[in-house]
Amino acid sequence: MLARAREGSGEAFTALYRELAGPVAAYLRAKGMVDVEDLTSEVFIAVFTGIAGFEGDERAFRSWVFTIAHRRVVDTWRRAGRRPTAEPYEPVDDTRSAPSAEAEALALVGNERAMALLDLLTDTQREVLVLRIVADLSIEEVAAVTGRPPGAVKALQHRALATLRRILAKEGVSL
Amino acid sequence: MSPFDDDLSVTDARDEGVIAGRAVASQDAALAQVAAELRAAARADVPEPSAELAALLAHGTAGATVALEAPDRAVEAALAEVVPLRRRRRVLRYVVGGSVAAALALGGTAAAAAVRDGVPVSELPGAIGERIAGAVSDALESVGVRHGDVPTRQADDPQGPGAGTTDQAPGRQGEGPGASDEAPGQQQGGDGPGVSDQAPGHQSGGEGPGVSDQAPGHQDEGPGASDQAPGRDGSGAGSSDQAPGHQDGAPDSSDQPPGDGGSQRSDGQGTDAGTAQSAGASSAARG
Repeated sequence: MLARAREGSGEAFTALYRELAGPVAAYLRAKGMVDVEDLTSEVFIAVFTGIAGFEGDERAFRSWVFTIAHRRVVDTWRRAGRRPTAEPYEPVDDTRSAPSAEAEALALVGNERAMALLDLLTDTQREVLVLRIVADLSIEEVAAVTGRPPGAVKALQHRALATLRRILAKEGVSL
Repeated sequence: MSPFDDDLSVTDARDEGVIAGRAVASQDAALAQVAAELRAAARADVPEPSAELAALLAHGTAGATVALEAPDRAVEAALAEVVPLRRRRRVLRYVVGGSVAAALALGGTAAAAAVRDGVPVSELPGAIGERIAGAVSDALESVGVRHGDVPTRQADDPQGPGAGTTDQAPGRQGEGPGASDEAPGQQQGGDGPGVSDQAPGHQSGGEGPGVSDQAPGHQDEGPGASDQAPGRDGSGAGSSDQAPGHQDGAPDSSDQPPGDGGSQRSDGQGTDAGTAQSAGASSAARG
């Protein structure tokens, strides 16, 4: 399919879009983007217009797509003149971990509950989890996309999962 | 492997199981379920493509290529029009540049020769012009073109005896007077030949009017010549810096009369022009 996409096949483009558009949109949404649909289209236009010069297998292609999405997010932040500022984490000030927020998230069901639980994480933790779970990227690939060391990605992932475990265990959520 | 490493590997395996949506530990079942829900939700939520992307998905880059070829052809057509124009301009630049360079070289050579011959500074421009004209004339003669061979208006329209030749000499002429290039002035009473190039002056009473540019009429007793002959020559005895014709008995002959005026007839009528008593001559006239 990738070979046909390099040749400019519309069918191959459509197949790739159907496979990756949802994860890309979820990633953009997890990064706080507002106009997710338009941004997703911009990402895939950039992908398909540049795919002729891409070299690599499907794993590399997937990583490349999310790299473009990540850069698009950075560009959007830059254009908006606002960038997420790194502030020291204070659990007391973290309203997302308030019992009410957790309860609201856990009260949801299905997909909405999962997305609400992601919102309880920090931005970086959420980014790593989305790239790992939704985009199906490896630790090294996430590190390449986000520009962080693989060890940092692994630590962020571990902390995110630990937070979710704690929330789920506290509320006694069971299947 | 230390116990720490072993514990780390267990933790990593547990996390990787959750990420993959399968619970390694029993207490991770709910977390694995959340991960699976996240994955399913993302795959199910495919956003609507924009119009531009939809066209790309429908036609691929082939459709985009067709759309892009039109301006490319337009650019090529524009280039095809521009390139010959540039070539023409380049050729024109070469021609103009070569002409200017040749003129400068010729002028420089003539100036050097004039200085070498001791021509006074005040007469230097005229001498340079004369030498240039001489060089051009020599060049023409070297290729078989003589002054007499060049047809002129006046040659086609003979005006009595002793009429000189001229190029574009619309001036009014009496008896075979000279003609003037861009010279509307009257030239009366001239018996002599000669033509005046740029001789607008009124020349009355002169028996032998001017000598023209490259109109080397025989001018016996034709005393002078006028550079651009602007003045009124009462007796037709003007003086000139560049009246190179042979001028027997001419008191005010040219400073540089290199040739025998009698031997160089311009149009075959100059043989009778020796009766000219006075003659004006123009610049760059060479006998």
